[in-house]
Amino acid sequence: MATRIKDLPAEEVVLSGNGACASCPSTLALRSVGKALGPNAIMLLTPSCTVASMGVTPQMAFTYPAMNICFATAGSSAAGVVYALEAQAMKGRLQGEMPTVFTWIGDGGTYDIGFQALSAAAERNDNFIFFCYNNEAYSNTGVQRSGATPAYAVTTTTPGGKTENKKNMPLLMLDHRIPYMATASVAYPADLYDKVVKAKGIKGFKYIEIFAPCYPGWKFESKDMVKLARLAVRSGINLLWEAENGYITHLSGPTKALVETGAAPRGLEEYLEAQGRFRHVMTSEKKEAFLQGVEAGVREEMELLKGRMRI
Amino acid sequence: MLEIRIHGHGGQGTVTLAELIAYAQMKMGRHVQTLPFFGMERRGAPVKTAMRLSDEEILLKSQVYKPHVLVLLSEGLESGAVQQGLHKQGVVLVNRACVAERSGENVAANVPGCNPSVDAWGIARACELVLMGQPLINVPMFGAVSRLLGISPQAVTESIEYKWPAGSEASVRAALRGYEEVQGLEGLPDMARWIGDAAELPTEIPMEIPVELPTELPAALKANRITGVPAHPVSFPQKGVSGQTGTWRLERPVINKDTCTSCLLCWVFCPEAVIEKETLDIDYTYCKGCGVCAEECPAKAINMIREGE
Amino acid sequence: MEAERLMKAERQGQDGGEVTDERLLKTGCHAAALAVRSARVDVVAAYPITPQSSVVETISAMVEEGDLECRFLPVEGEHSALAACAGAIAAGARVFTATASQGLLYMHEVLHMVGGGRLPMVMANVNRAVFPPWALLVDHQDSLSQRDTGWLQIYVASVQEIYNAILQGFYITQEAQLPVMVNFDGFILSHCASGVMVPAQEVVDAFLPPYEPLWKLDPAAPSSFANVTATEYYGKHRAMLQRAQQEAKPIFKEAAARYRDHTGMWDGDVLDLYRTEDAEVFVISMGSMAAEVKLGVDDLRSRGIKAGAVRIRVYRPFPAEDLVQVLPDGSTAVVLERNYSFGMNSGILAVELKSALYGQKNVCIHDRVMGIGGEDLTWRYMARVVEDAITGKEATPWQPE
Repeated sequence: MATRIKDLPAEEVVLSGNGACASCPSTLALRSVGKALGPNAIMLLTPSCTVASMGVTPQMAFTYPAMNICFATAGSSAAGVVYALEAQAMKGRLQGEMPTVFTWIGDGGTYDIGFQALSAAAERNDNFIFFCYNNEAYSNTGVQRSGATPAYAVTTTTPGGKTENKKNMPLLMLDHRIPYMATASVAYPADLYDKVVKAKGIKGFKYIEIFAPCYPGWKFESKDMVKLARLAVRSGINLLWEAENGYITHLSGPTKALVETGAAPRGLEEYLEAQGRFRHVMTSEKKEAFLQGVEAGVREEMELLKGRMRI
Repeated sequence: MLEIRIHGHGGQGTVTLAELIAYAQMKMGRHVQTLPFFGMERRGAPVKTAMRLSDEEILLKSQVYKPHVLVLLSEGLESGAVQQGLHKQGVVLVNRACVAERSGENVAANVPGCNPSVDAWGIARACELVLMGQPLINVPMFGAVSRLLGISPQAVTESIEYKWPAGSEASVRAALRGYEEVQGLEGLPDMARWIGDAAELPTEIPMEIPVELPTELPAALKANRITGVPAHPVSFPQKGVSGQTGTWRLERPVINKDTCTSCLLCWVFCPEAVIEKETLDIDYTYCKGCGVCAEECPAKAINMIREGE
Repeated sequence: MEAERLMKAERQGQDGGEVTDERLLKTGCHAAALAVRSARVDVVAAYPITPQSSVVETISAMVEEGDLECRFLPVEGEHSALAACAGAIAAGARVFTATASQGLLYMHEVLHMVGGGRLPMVMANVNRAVFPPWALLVDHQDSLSQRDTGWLQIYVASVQEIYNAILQGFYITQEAQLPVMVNFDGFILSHCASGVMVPAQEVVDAFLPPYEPLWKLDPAAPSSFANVTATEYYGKHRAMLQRAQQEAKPIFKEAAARYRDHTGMWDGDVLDLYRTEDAEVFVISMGSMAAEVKLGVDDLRSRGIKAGAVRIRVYRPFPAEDLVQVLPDGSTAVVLERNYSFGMNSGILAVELKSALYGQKNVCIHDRVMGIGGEDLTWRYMARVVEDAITGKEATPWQPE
């Protein structure tokens, strides 16, 4: 049964007064993840907003042992940690429950520069959880386009709007046929919590991608961060599912109704309207075509998912 | 050489303000240099940008330590660090919100000499110069600084049009209002003379050490036999790694316990983890005032109250 | 695994019991793998590249056959190989990797991370010329290009020394808290088989205590590695790295002496000297050529030239003080080296030698770049180059003999 909000643990792994922007979806998501993983975990980070805001030596804003690593190496460095723990356990130098190893990586370190090492770790089925918090741009360096930036979005390197579609990272990971993967949203913290608890209990490679609206990057008001994440789920932009060994096994939240009953996606226009990065198209004569294109994309994605379901 | 230091919060446009001033001065034939402060802080954190104006070529590449003019964009700036190195006849130009709202940190009141002010907040809102809910206070502040520096209204307009070639009408209006409405110019020192003077350098560079390294080694870290100090660049968990981030806040969330249903959504959605689960007490030392809790509260039991009100 | 067993030597162990050393016929790559086994390495992460591949293959086979209790991580590239090593070190393991040429160049960013992060490990680099154009044979451009990454660097001259230097490397890296790169010449050492003395495990264990990290990722005592750092501390940290390199020199000498005490084997410490006591002409080189050049020195001496050979065994930290001691005022040095310092009209080693001796000793220094891309270097050729250099002739063009 799904965990209720009030049953989520009170323990916090994110310490207040960190350097993240007000309304940062990364720290919000990490709170739920930490509640699910508990204290016995090891965190790895590649350059990202999280690294820029986690504190200046000798202070850090998380309660986990954490390692800053080179940008392209989340998959390989985390594998190194896992193998080292396994080797020490094998030789009797490490007793008790093995710590959960996880990476905390932005879309840049997942979709783009880190893809090779991520794919290799998935293929080797290394025993850790790869978290991608996806804010659809290189927000840390000033909001440049990434492989996760959707078409038409204005970034500082696509000043006229991105002319290409984003890559479908969740489906790419699905085709690695890893033991467990899930998509999640900061607007559904209990759902995220349950997915992390599940991932923690599975041996092998786990991938969890968390949709994370970034207010300075997407240009909306800071108070609307969770609201936009919720709209993304309701409108089908961010579909919430879980998969095991290459097949989708569970749909959660509004995604269930959208996919299973063919219910009409809600709030797509409101979602796009709220974001400054789409203003150029939402205020032009291309608006209707754009909306139709996005909705067609959502429906196509749902059809793709249906073909991969074994529920 | 005249040196200016602009203080604000990330996202308020201190760099843009410096560039507007620099452009106007450059068009007047002066040598200019802007020096944004490079740091890792995110949107909302205190930031500063410095600049130099001179009649001669500017060879200085080091930081500004003895500014003649301080420009303060917002409240909540810690007064000690802001005032550091201010020239003895220095001028402090403030966005009036600074003065009105946090008397304990009223920088201008503690500084002798000329302390002009302008209601940049009010002007920006009146001119409908608002982006993502935030008034663009740097634009009226540009008008006010221009007045101090002897930049003509015509040059103010040209700078704005240069910066925002497409759609600058509201900005021009706001900047010119800032120019007109700046108060307290009595006793303004001769800026042109400072600009023409030779540069002054401090005899000693003040070091800002944000955090002392621990003198005793934590148990997790053993000293290396060679140097006797930790070999590894290691950090330890700590609240407030970016200081009292409550100072970033422009509005504070206040929970009305009468209408609150204890649904805990504010607790679960707080990105900063400043709301206590059991009591729903908010830790205002660190709350950045993002407003997510108020927006998400289904009972509408949380109000965002402007700081100082 | 142990097919070509040639000889077993028996002797008294420290506790009075008998211990068994083994003499095996091994290639350089196999010798490296044997050293990894002797050192009881916990994690090996590596990617194959010619001429290093059989190091990786041998280690995988050892792990598969239960001959080495270790986790082997077959990564998808060298950048990941070293990144995985970094993670494994941070989690408290004794770690090894091996690479060559392009692989080492591809690691460059992570070399800085492991060096600058003071993460102790040993890497074997099989020296090979760099692209372009493609070349498979030896020169030293790959590892010398990594000079300023904070790694300690050893260059060995024999198959036995590959084994010895890797074991010493594990001792040194632990004491110095700096990573060690053991460089050996591609094909000349990596693929040619020689007799390798492998000391009994008890002997190795007595030389090399178990790995104990000074810091590790530990949920019971959480700390984070390499956060953003303020300028003041960053500067201090880098200065400490510089100091640690300097202070690693005595550790190399200590490791070599300790290794001799335990195993009876000696390859030199930071320098390996040959007939230098009364020499007037010093032939300075690194790697396998520095072994053969000893015959060239004999040849020069037979023709009345008082030559001696100096093999720079430890290249980082650079043994400047030791060279100042060895080279007398008024002597001549001829540097023979397998690399270029482009734009300096010289090799890298000669530039460093000049810098080390400047203001200390008045030595006439000649530099000859040779052996690039695997060009074969005979002692006769090297002796002639030395002779030409000191008699003022132009650099001798290379000709096959």
